[in-house]
Amino acid sequence: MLTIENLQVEVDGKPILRGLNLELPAGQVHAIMGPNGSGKSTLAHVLAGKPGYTVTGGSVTFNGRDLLALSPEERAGEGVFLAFQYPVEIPGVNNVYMLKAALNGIRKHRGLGEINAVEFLAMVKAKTASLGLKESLLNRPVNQGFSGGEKKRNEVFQMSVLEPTLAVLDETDSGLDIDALRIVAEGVNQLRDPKRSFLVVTHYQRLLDYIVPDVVHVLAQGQIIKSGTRELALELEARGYDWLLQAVA
Amino acid sequence: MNWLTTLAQAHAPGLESPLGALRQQALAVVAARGVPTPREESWKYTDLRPLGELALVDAPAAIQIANTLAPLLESTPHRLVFVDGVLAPTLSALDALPPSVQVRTLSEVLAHDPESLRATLARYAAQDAQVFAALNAGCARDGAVIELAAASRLEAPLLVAFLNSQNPARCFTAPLIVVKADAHSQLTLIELHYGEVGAQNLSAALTDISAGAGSQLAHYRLQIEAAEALHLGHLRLALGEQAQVDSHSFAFGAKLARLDINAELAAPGAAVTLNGLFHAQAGQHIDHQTKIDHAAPHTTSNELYRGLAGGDGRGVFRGQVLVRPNAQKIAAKQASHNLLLSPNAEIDTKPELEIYADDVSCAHGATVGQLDENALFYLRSRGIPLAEAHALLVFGFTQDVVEQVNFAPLREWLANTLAGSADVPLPEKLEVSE
Repeated sequence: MLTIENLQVEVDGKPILRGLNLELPAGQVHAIMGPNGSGKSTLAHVLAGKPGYTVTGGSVTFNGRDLLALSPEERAGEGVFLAFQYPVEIPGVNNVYMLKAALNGIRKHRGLGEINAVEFLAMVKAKTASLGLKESLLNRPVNQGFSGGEKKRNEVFQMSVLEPTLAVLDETDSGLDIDALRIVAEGVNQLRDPKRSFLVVTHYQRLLDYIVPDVVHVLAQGQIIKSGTRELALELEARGYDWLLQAVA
Repeated sequence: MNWLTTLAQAHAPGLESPLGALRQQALAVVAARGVPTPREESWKYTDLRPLGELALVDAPAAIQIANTLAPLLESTPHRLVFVDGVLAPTLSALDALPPSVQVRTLSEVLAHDPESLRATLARYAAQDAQVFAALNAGCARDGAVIELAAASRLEAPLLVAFLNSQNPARCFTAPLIVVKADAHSQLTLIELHYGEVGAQNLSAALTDISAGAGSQLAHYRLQIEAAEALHLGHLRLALGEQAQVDSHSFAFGAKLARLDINAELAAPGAAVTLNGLFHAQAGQHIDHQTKIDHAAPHTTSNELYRGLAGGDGRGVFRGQVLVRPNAQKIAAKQASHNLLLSPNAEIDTKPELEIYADDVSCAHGATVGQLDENALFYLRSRGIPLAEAHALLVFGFTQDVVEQVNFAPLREWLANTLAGSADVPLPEKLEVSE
């Protein structure tokens, strides 16, 4: 589904990703772990098409298409979703407004007509219920006045409405207490599907207690330096990153 | 001799006409003052000199009601409509008014009851009157005189509309609205200034509202003149004890638009809300000058202005708040937030608080910013195309002003107008009931 080959990315002339390789098959959950500054968030942003990053080499192929050639909205249309580390507040725009515009944007990209308003409302209400969210969330301006936990739950809610085939979770656990973390993880687990892949970027192992990955990758100095099973994450939790960095050096 | 003096001379009423001497006095003020220059503080950012010599005529023409305008005109059974300054009886309807609410045309009052206007017009014939308010007081021929008896209440809004046709000449109009609301009366007034595509009118519009003790008034002023029009407006709000006036200015039109608002809080308990939303697109200059005078203790003012400027559009907001020495225990809040949509756009915002009392609560804030790049990326990452994401953010920026409009058809009309000016369809209005 997603193939990243020798990806090299700079920010303000400074190399951040230095030849990253990754293969994410359909239906799998891969975790990206690594120390601060290793390029984890850069990878998430580059996959979603955030401006400000310069790709200097390598390729990203998503379902046979050159992902890097697409605008952020086209990537969403192709099925990419980024759950933000810091979800953005949009004053004056209700969640439900934004979601309808988003869903119609995606449908248009796929050559489909606009969704019927009644069906849409029924669908979003059902999704709020299945994630245990209040319907009042729909009428609130996007992320405005939301607590940290509410913002992250709202990201998962949006994901459930937009039904991506590739969901990139950028440090979704940051700033969450253990209860909020469990709720967010349950939401993600509900969305696990043989046709849907997840790339879970995280600094800490604890998220992976709830969202159990098929593969764990360690990102350091802009490259994947080790890949393994879930046990690798537990080992990192116990031993930190230094032993790995030294082994590579 | 400049166009303003020429205009004043051309419109000077005969001494024998009702209130003739008073109105000539107002025009003498205009002639003495002349076209304002940026040397005057209140005209610092709005320079009228590039207008050159304006050739102005009175030449009423016919008008086609645009599809976009019709829902607004049909939103209320009470309406008084003028085209190029002249009453349009077929577009007007006042039959459903209760007897306690009297609405007359200005021309009728000037002809049959002129003395009732003397005190109002005298205010604008004074030496310190604002020049275009004085011009209106000297030249006004038609408009609306609205009187509410004590404790009277008009359920649906009253719409007073001044429509300008695509007149080939630059047509001059001086529309005047006078509102006298007696104690505990209630009114919603929609004041519309509209120009057909191609209209190039100059309007010197004056509205004078006296809100009696305990009265509650909502005033919505919509300025959607045509792209070549010049609009010079003046609004005075005088509030009595415990009076509440909410006045909202929506300014989207004209090549050059200026509105001066003076709110006088003259008795304890008076509370005024001044809200505004303007959008100056390429080639437009929109200036609001507001002045709130806390002249009595226990008075309240709330002011929220939001401005947008795109292309080489230019916006100006100046918010004066005066708290007089005896005006203790007042609360004044002012916010001016502005968004520049292009690198060539400019908005100047200037809060001016003069506080001479010591036991008061005053707060103000002013910002000028650009569309949030992170928010744009956030929306795009959800699949929303760039242009639509842009429009959605602009729409969101206007919402806290639009949401304070209490008349639903107007609120919807505004949302559609804002969407139209962004030239991008907005997601349809969705309400989720619990």
